Order: sequence, then structure tokens, then C-alpha cells
Amino acid sequence: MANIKIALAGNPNSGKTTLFNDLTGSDQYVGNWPGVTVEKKDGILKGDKNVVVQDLPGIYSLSPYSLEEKVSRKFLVEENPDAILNIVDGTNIERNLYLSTQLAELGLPMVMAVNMMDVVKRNGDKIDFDKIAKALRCEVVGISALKGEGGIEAAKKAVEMARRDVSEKGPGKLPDVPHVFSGSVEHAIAHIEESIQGKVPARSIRWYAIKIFERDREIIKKLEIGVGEMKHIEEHIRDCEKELDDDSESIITNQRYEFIQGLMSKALTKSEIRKNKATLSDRIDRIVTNRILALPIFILSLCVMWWLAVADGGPGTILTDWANDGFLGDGWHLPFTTHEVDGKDYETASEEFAKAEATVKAWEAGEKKASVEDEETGEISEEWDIDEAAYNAAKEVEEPDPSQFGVWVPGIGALIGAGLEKMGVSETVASLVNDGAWGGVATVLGFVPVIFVVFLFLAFLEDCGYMARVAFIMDRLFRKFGLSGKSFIPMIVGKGCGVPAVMAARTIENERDHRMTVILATFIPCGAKTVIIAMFAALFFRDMWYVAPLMDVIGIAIIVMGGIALKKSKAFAGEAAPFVMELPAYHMPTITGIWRHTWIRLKGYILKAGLIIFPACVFLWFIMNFDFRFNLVGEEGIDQSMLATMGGWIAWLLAPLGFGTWQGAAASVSAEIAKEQATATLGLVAANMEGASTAAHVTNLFASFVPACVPEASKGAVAKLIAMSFMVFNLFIPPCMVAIAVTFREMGSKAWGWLAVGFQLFVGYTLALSIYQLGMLVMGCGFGVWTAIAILVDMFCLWAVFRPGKKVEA
Amino acid sequence: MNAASIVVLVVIGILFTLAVRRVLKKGAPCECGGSRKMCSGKGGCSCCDCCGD
Amino acid sequence: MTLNELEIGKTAKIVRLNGEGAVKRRIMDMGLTKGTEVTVRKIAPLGDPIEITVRGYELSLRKDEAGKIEVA
Repeated sequence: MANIKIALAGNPNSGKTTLFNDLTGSDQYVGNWPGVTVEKKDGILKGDKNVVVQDLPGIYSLSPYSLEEKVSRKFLVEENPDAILNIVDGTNIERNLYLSTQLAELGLPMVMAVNMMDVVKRNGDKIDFDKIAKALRCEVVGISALKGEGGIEAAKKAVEMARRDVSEKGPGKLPDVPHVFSGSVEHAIAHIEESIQGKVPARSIRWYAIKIFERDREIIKKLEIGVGEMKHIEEHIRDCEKELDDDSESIITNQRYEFIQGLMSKALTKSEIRKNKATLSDRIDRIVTNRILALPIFILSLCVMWWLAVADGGPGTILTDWANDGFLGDGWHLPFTTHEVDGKDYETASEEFAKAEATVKAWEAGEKKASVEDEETGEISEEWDIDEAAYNAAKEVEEPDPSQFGVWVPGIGALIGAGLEKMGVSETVASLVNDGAWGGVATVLGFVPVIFVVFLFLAFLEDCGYMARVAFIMDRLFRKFGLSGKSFIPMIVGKGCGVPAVMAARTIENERDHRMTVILATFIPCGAKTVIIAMFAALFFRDMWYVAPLMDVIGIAIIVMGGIALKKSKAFAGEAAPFVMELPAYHMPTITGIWRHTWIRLKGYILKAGLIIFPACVFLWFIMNFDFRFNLVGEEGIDQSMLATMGGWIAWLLAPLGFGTWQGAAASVSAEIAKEQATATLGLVAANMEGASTAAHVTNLFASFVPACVPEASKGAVAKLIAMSFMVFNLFIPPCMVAIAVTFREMGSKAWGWLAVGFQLFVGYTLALSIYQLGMLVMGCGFGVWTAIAILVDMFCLWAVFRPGKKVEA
Repeated sequence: MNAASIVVLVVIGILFTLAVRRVLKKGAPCECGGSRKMCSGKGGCSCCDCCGD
Repeated sequence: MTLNELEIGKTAKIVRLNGEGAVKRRIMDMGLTKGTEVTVRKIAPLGDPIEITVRGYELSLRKDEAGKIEVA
């Protein structure tokens, strides 16, 4: 049996992608704002492998103006689908039918699937499918894609029609197409059809004729209509225009809607009760887009998300700590199974043992004082005097056996370590596994809880329809620099991953604005960057919960100010882009929907850990433990390693930012493979620092970056300052390599690509520079050359933003 | 270097090679959740998973 | 009167569409045609754009775009 191609076409927000997933079983991501689907995608129909379903971008019309329309049009007209499955939003049927009339004119076998019938029924409305079917000469069925009802049947019907068409009628026969226009217009169309006979497939002749009537330049050019012929046609068109006192395009559009209105008066019965009741959607909207509350609510929702994810004591950190120390690390007790032994619980017993160990170590080293450090911050938490008696007592203290205190589950790290020891593996190879491969991957996997919370939250906000509202709210702000609220949408997408964010910018028709959006889209911290934020929040800013949301705010600020500055430059100056956008109703997201979206992203993150982080860490371990002659230098000789040497070559570039060391360089460069790699690399390169855990190592690593001239009392604060600088640098320089590659591709030319990367590098560097230098001015070594340079660069940036530019609409 | 170490090294080596090959062939996975099923060949995809070019 | 001058909550019929090009076409495609009833729902928090109800759904458009639509 020959392959059948079904084109899936419909308005944005009509549930098309949900239907596509239903039909093909794909996991394609569904967003709830316009422009998520920017290219056509295909899949095999479930249950019939000879049928290909082609998902077209959501479109409102087949006019040649926007990219989505062009893509869809091209497919429908040039690639000969065998049938059209037109999905229509039953709760918004008038506007949806506008496209349907155009699709029907193509003369292809068509099935109209009226979606959201569950909502239509709930509202008490009634739709007469037969009347619509008769009027548009196609089959009409009701479905509910969200509930999985009716979709496959509709598709099967389309397949049936396609097969019948192929065998009975074929593309040469004249199809049954609806005539929706008035007498004089139909007259003109008939004339045009005559003139283009033979130039186009017979089935679609009417569609072409109407396009010519509308003076569609693309079609006219494509059909190579001669000047003389066109003149003749023009006469007919002008007659109509004079008679109806309007231009031909408007005539067609108006009459289509008039036809639809007439049809609806017969086929649609709206429930009287609902007409006047404000829906729940309206009431939510009133609050969320309220003049005063809108922006605070938006920022509040960001803060809530971050609090859940990284706040000390919040669910995110509790789970992450368990993941890092317990599940992946040493081990953990099953909840509700813990009990005390000798009047102490495990934690207390461990603390006592740690102190005893410290006492023994200190005494044997000849010290008079012993101390223990806080695992996370690396700071000394307790200090006490010791004497011989204390030493003897301490020697007797045994390490508590966790399995005595409850059901103990050894962590994966501990298991691996023990396993290797049992096997008798050499120390070096054990290090490769424990510190390199596993250590690095474990660092990244440990943050899964944080990522999970962020993705879950995002999925909820996207699915309920809030994101379209945010574009609406932000539009005014974005207009200040000539973009539109539409440009904000890629940025929301970017909270998950920068790659689809950059691609979502395709919906912006204006090439100039499109480019600007591509450059700015990745400044909102993505999922991977979120991991960096999580690590630094946990290590350095536990008591400053606002640091995490601050990174989002900085991202937005960069977009706004960067946008303003770019807009003032000649490359980007120009009129503001128009903003006409549908605001779909809110709806309560389904648990399965949210879970599915969250899981897709989570899966990607975990997969990345295995496929990218793992090999990267193995590679890093290797160049960290060997020098250029391939001698094993190990932890003690780490400064002679290849990584240290190579890091040293570029470390000086980072010196003005406070982390001009090979470790800082290695971490930052490795982040270009994947941003979360920075956390893994830090864990690796800090292994030779003091401390009992990766966290302590990294904390001490940054402490070691503090220059000598800093007064003792400020050393802690400066370490945090450097951490902030490092974090900001990695968050706001160009994104990971994959995202950069996509940037180049979307920009179209290498020159624009480099411009984007250059701009991003400048922003990240300047931001980190300013933070470190100005911070040092206050807390550290005082004024220096770089302080001056930082101030000058900052002034330049302020000038670029605030200088008078060409008149942009206020 | 004893037998156990060599075994472990080989295992790591194999895993390493597998991972690298998969990335080179299919492109890097990312948090957008793209799957290859969506792609109709080059340029027909909307997520990083298949746009390794 | 033009659409941007219509008060919140008020309904009016479109009398004429000025403007031209792709934006005008888009506005018409979205259902804003001669004789269509539109209601102004709200104004965005920052003053622009506005949200209108047309043909049973919500549409947002800028004040200057709305200014090209004459209503009565």
C-alpha cells in the first residue's frame, strides 16, 4: 500500500500538538503560547505504518506574511498531502473556521475535527456538525484531544477519504469545494480560473484563483502569469473593488467572515446561562494582569519557585542534600526506622566521633587545640583545648555503625568505593572512578531535585496559560527597545533550555528584531545554569535566599538594558514590531500533562549526565592527573598536570574577575560543554583542598582565591564575592556550545553569530568585573587599575543604554 | 597494574566510547526533551536532540 | 472614534479599517472586520497593549494599531 500523507492544520492553541502526540505517540513538547511549533514535524500514525501525519505550524490564515503561514502554505500546496485533518477549537469556532474555509478551497479530502468538545458541552453550547459539513463540503467530527477521545477516529476517517480519493477520483478531477463569496466576486474568480486552467492542479484551481484575486504576489510570480493576462484579470478585480468600495484582500476576508457568521447563526447555539457569567478564567486574569499586581505577582512567582528549589530548609535543598550526601554519597537511613543507641541518635554519635578524631589528629600533630569544620561552609564550627587525658579518651571512641541506628542504605558512592577496594583495584584507577567519573556525575545528578522543582513549576505555569499573559504584560516594557512581548516568550522557554528558546525566536518576522531576540534569549538562566546557581546558593549564600531569584532578575535586566542599548545602534534601530496576539483562556493543567513535560526535561538532564558529563569528567580526570609527559602526578602534583598548565595559559584573563587561577579557568571553559559541568569540574579540581566533602573542598577552593592584601576579617566575605563573580560570569557569558551552534544557525551568517557571542562575552565579563572590582573597593584591597577600568566600562554601558537614540515609540 | 584495575579501566573506556559515539551520531541531549522521532531529516527538527549539525 | 479610545467594558462595531500591509491583514485575519462587534476588556498594567473580546475570544493589540480601527 502506498504511503498516505495527512496534513494536520489548525490555529495555534487549538490543541493541535496534543492531537499530534495522540496520533503518533510522540513526546513532542506542547507549549501554551503561539510560536512553539515553528517547523513542520511528522510522525507515523499509530496503528497504520503507511500513514504519515505531518504537523504544520499553527496558523490563522494561508496568507503569505508570517513564517509559519509560509511554511504551512508551502507544504499544503507543493508537497501534495493526500488529505487534511483540520483541527478546530470548538470554544472559539468562528475564528477557527476562517482558516477552514481556505483549507477547504484547496480541494483536498478534508476532515474537520472540532476539538475541546468536552468544554463545549460543559459550557452548554451546541454545534451542528452536519450543517458545517454541508457548508464546507468536508467531514466534521467532534473530538477531545486532551481526553484522547475521537482523535484517532478522525485521523482514520481522513485516511479513508484519502484512499478513496486516490482510487476513485484522483487529483485530476474537480472536487467539491465551498463557494463562500458574493456574486460579483464569484464572477471574477470564475474568470481567473479560466485564465489559469492547466497551470495548476485542477483540484486546487479555486484556491489559486482566489489568491490571485487577492493579488498574492508569491502565487502570481509562481504561476508566471503574463503582464497582458494580469491586466485583464486586474480589470475584473478592480470592478469588484469599486462595487464593494474596498481592496480585494479585505473583500475576501470580510466575505469569508460574513459567510462564517451566517453559518454559525444556524449551526452554533450558545448557552444562554453562560453568556453573562464571568468565567473562572476571567476572574484569575483580572488579578494576574491587574495594573498594580501583575508585575509583583510575576516576580513573586519567580521567588516562590526559587524558594522551593534552593532555600535553606526548603524542599529542594532537603532533597538535594539527601541526594548528594545520602543516596549518591555515603548513605542514608530509611525514614521512620531511626532510633537511638546508648541515648544518642546517629547524628550526635557521628559528631562525637568526628570531634574525637579531630582530637586524636591534633594531639598527634603536637597541637594544643582541636577543631571541626562545618561541612558545607568549611568554616570552623567548634574549637576546644586538648590534653593527654582528652587524647586517651578520644582514642577509645569508636566510629558509630550507621546500621545500628536504623535501616541504613549505603549510598552509591560508598558502594562503588567499597566495591573497588574489595576488587583490589589500584589507587589511581580507583581515583579515576571515585573522584573522576563517579564524583563528577554525582555532583551533577545530586542537583536533580532542584532541577525537578524548577521544571515542575515551569510546566505548571506554561500549561495553565500564564505565559501568554506574561508576554502581554511585558509588551510595553519590550516596546521601549523596539521589541514586542512576543520576544519575551523565547525567554520563558529559555528557563528550561536555551536551544529551543533561540529557535522560538523564529516567530518574529522582522529579521532585525529576530536577531536581537536571539542574542538576548539566553540571558535568562537555563536549566543547566540553574544547577550552578543551586550549588553556589548552597555553598556560599545559604543565608541569602534572594541571591537565586536575583540571577533571574539580572537576566531580565540585561535583556531590557541590553535591548535598549542594541536598539540604539545602527544595526538594530527601526520601528517597533507590531503585537497582535491571541490570549488563550486559562485552564487547569492536568497532572499527567505537567508530569509529562517535567519528566521530558528531567530525562534530558539525566541523559546529559551520562552522555556528556561522564566522558567530560573522565577526560578532565585524565588531564588533571597527568602531566604533558604522561607521568602520573596525582593530587599532590596537581599543579604540574596538563589541566593546570593549560588553565594557567588563560587564567590571567580571569584575574580581574577574582578567579584568575587554573581551576577557575578550567571550570569556566568546561562549562561551555554543558553549563552544569562547571559544578562537576569545580568538584574535581578542588579535590586536593582541605575538607571532608566536595562542598567543603569547593568552599575552600574559593577561599584560596582571596588575595593576600585582604584584611583577615573580610576574607570570608571576599570569598563569597569571588563566588558571586564566578557564578555571574558563567551565567551570563555565551551559553553552552550546542546553544551557540544553534545561535549561529538561527542568525544566518557567521558575522551575526560572532556579534551575538561577542556581545554575550562582553556582558558576562563586565558584570563579573564590576561585581568583583567594586566589591573589592569596599571590602578588600582598595583602589587599583582594574577598579578604574571597571568603572570606565560601566560608565560606557550606562551611556550605551541611556544615551538619546532615534525616536522610538514610548 | 593488576587485573582488577585493568578490568575497571576497560569498562570505563567502553562506556566512554559509547557515550561519545552516541553524542556524535545523534547530537547532544538537552533539557528541552526533544526526541529524534520528531525529526524528518536535517533541518526538520525543533530541538537540540537532532540538530547536531 | 477609534478602538483605542473605546472605554473599558464598552462594546462597539467596527466601521472601517485604516492602515495597510501585513499588520492590517493580520488584524483582519484575526476576525476584526467591518461590522464586527468588539469589547474592550482591559489595558495592560504598563498602559499598553489592550485586550479586546472579538468573535468569542481574547485578542491583545497595541494602542497604535487599535488607533487605526474606526468604531461606532
